[in-house]
Amino acid sequence: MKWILILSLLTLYIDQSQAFWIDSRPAIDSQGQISQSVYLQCRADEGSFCQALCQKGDTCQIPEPLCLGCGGTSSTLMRAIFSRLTTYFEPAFSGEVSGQDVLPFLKMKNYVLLSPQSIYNYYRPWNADDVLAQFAQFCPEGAEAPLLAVILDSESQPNDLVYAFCRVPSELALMETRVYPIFPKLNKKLTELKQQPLF
Amino acid sequence: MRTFENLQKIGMIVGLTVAVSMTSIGSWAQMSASSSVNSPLSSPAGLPANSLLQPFNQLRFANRAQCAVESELPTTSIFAIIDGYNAGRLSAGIAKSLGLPVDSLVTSGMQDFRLAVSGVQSQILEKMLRGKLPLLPADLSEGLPTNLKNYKTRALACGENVFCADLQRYLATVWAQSHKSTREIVAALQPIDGFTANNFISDKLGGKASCLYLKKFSPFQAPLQAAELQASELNQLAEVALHPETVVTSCQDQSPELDSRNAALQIDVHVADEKLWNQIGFDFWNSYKIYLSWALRYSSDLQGWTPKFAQVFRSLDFEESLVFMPNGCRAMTVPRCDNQTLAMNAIRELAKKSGTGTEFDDLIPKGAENNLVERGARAVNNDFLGTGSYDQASDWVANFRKNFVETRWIMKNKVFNANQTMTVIARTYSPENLVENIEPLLLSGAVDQSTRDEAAYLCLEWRLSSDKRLDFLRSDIDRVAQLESMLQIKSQVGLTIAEQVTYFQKLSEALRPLCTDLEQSDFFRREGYQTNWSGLEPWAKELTKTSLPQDQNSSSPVFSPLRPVAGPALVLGNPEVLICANAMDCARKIFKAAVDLYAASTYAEAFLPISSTAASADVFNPYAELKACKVYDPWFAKNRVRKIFVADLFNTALVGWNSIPLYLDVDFRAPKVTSFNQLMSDGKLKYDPNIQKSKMTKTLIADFGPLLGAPCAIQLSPHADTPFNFYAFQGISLNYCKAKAERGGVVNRPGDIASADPTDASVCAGCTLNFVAVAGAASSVGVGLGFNPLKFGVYLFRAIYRFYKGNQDKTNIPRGYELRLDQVVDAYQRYGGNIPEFCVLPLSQGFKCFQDVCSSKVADYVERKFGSFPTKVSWRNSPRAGGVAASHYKMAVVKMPNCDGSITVPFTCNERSGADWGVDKIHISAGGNCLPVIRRRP
Repeated sequence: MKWILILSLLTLYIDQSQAFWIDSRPAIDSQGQISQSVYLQCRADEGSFCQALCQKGDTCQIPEPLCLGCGGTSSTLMRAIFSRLTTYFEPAFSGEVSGQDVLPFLKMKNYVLLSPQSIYNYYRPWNADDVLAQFAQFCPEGAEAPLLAVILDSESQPNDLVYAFCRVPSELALMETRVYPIFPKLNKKLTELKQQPLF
Repeated sequence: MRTFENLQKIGMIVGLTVAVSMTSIGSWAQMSASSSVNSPLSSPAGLPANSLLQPFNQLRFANRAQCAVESELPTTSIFAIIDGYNAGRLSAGIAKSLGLPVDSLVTSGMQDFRLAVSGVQSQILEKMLRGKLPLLPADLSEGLPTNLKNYKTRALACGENVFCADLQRYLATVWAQSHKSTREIVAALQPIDGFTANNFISDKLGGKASCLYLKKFSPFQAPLQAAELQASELNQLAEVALHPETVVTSCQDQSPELDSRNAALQIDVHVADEKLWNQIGFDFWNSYKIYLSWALRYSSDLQGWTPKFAQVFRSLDFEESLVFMPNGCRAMTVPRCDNQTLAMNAIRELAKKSGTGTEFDDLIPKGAENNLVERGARAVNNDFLGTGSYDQASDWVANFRKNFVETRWIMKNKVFNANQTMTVIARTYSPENLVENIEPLLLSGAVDQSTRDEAAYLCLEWRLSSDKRLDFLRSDIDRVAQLESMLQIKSQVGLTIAEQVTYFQKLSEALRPLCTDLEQSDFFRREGYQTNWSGLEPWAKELTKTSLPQDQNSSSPVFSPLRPVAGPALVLGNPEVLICANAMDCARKIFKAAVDLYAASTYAEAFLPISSTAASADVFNPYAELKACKVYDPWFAKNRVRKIFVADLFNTALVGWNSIPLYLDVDFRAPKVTSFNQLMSDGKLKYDPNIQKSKMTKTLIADFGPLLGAPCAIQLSPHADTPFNFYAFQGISLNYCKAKAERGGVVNRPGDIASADPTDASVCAGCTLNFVAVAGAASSVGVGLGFNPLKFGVYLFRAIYRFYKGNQDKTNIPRGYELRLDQVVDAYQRYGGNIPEFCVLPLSQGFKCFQDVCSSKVADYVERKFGSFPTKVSWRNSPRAGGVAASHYKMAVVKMPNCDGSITVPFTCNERSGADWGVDKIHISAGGNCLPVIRRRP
């Protein structure tokens, strides 16, 4: 009975997480051209998710779109993400997004994925400890440093921080990504501001 | 009989006076009856056809007044200042991610960036000059119609944002046609927006572009350093023109020694039809900037220039990395008296060697318009930005970029931090809520010194920022929410600018009753209490520095805000960051944020990311905005000289011929801008100057002179300056003279700065010696009101002399000329590497050098008309008729390289100045076998 319960929970656990692994990094191709791309890898028996995005196979590389002005210091959103992330944003761990629900977003291809090693980090040193620490708060314990998805507007400029893609480490031999929505902390809808009485 | 004799005398004396005055004015000593020259070489030299410089060939010189006149004309030469930092940082991130050597990828990335930007802009220039891309109107205001109605509608709806979807698509459509012929393009685009051939540049302009990477600032940039060149400087120019690789190179030079982190490019557009260029030039540069910003992201051109980095470079913030500066006095955008022009042009202060301690550092900025009035007229064309102080041009760029980027970062920080503070506090407490939480802290009974001080700071900072009646800052802060420049800042996080200003306004109103009560009660007048002002916010200290003692008393502790027992008012984040300690602290931080927003808004156009195209600033011409705002009138000096001449002639006619011992001396004081009215119009801040009109100052002088037998003169004048020595006094004792007023608006040396207007009267009375005994002696000739020919002659002479002298003003009478490099090189080569002094005049008039300017003009005429440059020109005076004009009539004998014999050319020319030029074409003749040459015209 105990084992049935454990297996059921494990299945539930597996069912909640997405059978894909996502990454975003620069690469140099055979002609020496540098590009920034999103890399997707799916479990062999769960090809439908990748097929919906990659058209064939269980791995693919999707070039990131133009991110207007991201290679600079004009965007207040990028500045907030890299220097004041937890002041302005927080994840909603209770509202995990399923693979099917995040698929339309990924299909639109009008987003960039940011990490502390992002080439668009113009505000703090590359892979700095404080940035790592802030990013880490957007994934549950045990997950790798997240990729934060920033959606672009009609002018290809960063518009809003929407998702955290949290990757379960590969030692578990499972490709799993958990997706959590991100909300602006200072929105009136949020209730988790820390506030002390004044006197 | 007597009358006739007198008339004869008048005629002789007038004639003599005029003749004497004509010969004594200036240096006429060397007037020769004929002139001839041998050219050392038989054929003209010049820049080689494959010179690195082609087609760059023109240096335009101007003095201060001419610089102001030209500031309203479109430039043909610009500097593009490229900062490779963004590209370098991107490359460093890529290298670290891929585990590649960082330094080499950074170097390669920055070089590719420089080459790509200069390559794409060159392509755009070519396309525009070949008529492949249309000119987009720079001025979209209501009153200016354009046939491109679709463009105008979209541009206005998009706030002239190139990346706005509608405008971006329009530009894509236009660009897609740019590989075809102009006729095909017009046909294809006509249905899109009524394009005609007039929207494209035609061959009539004769436009050619060049791009040079500046290794050093050199004689090629001489117009930035001087208003004119002497012979020795022309030699230096010629030497550099023959070996340009020492100071410039091609923009596509890939040598690793070239600095790609800080690069200065000089881009020139050489045009044949200057009049046409003046009509389209501003639209040209407007279109250039728009196409550049668009093409760097959306066209495939970038791929061609940097296949390696193209995909990632598209996402770079190019506009952050590029600044354009017109090279010289002309402009890329029309200078107007508004905040956009003034703020943008103020960045020239950052280009100076000591670019720190500028107005941008002020916590409470005075504003660009007030700095303009304070600074007033200043020097120009004297390398005031120190380009000559640096060995390499890239060092100058590095200094400028360092100062500019630091200041920009400070401004952006103000906006970002103000946003955070305002948003965090506003989302937590309403204004009324904050005030409710302040009251118990102060009205509970036992309030210590520190808390009372804090309340004092709160209420003073509230008064300074919020009080409408005192209005230290209130209306300035209120206006921030109306400025289009501030509203264009995308608030992707937190409150918008408008919401921030609204919160500040509500808090100001909510706090009024509390602070008013505290001020009126004895809260601050408790016995034994003295406010320690050292804890005041720095911005408030700035405003009150002369009225409040602010020095830290060494015995009193450093101020820190009250910490309530229950804990701080507001903390945020993880790890926690203290936002404010108590409600008073929160309110004070709101006021500081509002002041910071105002400070950033004064120079928003220069430092905040508002425009979608790269900035352009008239860095090298401070007269652009001085003229636009009427602080400086370049025509004032010339008009003044003319008006004084008319007044002098009037004097001559009225009192010059008789013994009346009176003289009316007039002078005109320059109109002066004392301040500006600020006008908001469609979200843009414009300035309307308050001008103190030009006043005529009058001096009535009684010149008794020897008429009374004693050399005494009395002068009573509201303006003590009298430049003409007719009134030169000797031995004035101070007892007789009151202190004189300061000089008025005209300056005498190029480096002079106009000083304050005269205010005091000046009285000199008593017996003084009169230097100009001529006038004194003249007044003794004749009896009563009889005609006094000598006095008449002297008065007339003085009028003409003052007029002549006035027009020689080197700084305040608009004066400029163009130098052609090929002609300078030609003179250098023909005179064996040492350009003689007499070459300066013809070269400055655009002619190849001969011994005198008239020979140069004849040679130029012959070359243009008959196709060959002469080997020898000699001329003599050949008066056709009597009279003054006949002295300019001459006959030239010209030897040609392609025939024996000579050509005779009758012409007119003033050999001093080259003026009065004309050729008697009908009477050109030839001898020997040169007759076919004049018949066979090119």
